[in-house]
Amino acid sequence: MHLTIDHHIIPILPVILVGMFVGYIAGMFGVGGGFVLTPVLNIVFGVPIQIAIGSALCQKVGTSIASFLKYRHYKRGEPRFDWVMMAGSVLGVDAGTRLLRYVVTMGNLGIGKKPAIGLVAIEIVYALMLSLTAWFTIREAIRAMRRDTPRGDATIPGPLAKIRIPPYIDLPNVQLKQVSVPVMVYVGFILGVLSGLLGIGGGVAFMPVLLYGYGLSVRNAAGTGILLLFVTVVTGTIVQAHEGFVSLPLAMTILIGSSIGSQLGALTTHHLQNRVLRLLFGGLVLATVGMILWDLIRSLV
Amino acid sequence: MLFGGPRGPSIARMEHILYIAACVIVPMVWGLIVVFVSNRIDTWAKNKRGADGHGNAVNRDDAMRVEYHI
Repeated sequence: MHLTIDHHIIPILPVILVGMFVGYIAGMFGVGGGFVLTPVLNIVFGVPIQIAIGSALCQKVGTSIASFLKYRHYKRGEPRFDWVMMAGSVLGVDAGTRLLRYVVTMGNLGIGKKPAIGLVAIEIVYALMLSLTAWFTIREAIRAMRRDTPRGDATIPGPLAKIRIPPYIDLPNVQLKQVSVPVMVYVGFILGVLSGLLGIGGGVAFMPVLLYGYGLSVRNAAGTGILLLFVTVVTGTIVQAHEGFVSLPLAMTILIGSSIGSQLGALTTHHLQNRVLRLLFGGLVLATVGMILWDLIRSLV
Repeated sequence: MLFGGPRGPSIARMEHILYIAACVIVPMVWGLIVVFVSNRIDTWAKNKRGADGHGNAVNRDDAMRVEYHI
């Protein structure tokens, strides 16, 4: 049994196994796992990058509705974050998809194996973005290991919370006052662009913004943005499907695998210490960066 | 030509819109089914452990994930 995508024959069973692995990561770490999925689909299975990105977003519709329903009853976080950022995010997804459409038609580089300029550009952005996430995660994991007492749910306002561009909004649920609305909208826009351009969800982009940009506690950050992510993913899927970048059979094959894997991942979480989880996550992100860089070097040399 | 008649372009457009809708609805329905089944399993496991006398059994919802810690 196989899928045919843009003249590429892709066997179903390995795709289900990849889906299971991605779901396992999602269940274990509580992040989407899309940051692994797009590079694996493109580099290992040879799925065209735009189809890999569109299909990864499409399968996230299923995982994000599940997260939304599972987490909403915790009533943590600040829903105003979602509503304000949503304005920028929805526009950002459209802009990201248009950018993706543009970069995939940019032609080829005249060096090495003459890789597509668009693919090289996307891989470089992806690698930079994931490196940043890995750096933040590992740094924070080491800090937490050195800390004597847990930080708790207190918010320590980060650099984005301190920018003074009016108008402002108070976010009482996360103990932030006078937060700049334009900054939130622009941050939402950038996250949307990343989602449309790279097919990533919130785990590697939105969570670091909330944790390190706004200084939210981890529990509050986890409760914030679930609605925003869901809306961003649905909008992204609509826009990408309109461009013809979504393979529904591929997305559903991955989703079936990831539904099984996420249940196994959630069970594993009980058996690992928090600091180990954090370091594992950082290591996994770094391994993904390594895979992308290896592919990049291979195509350029 | 697949849609060669006078209404061809509108049928092709309708097919395109339906495909876009399917790309959102099909994974969403699957996600809802997974949540439903997963909740059922959790409830069943909780009840079973309660019946077996393990009152302090761990709920899978209590799992601490990296999003709580990064």
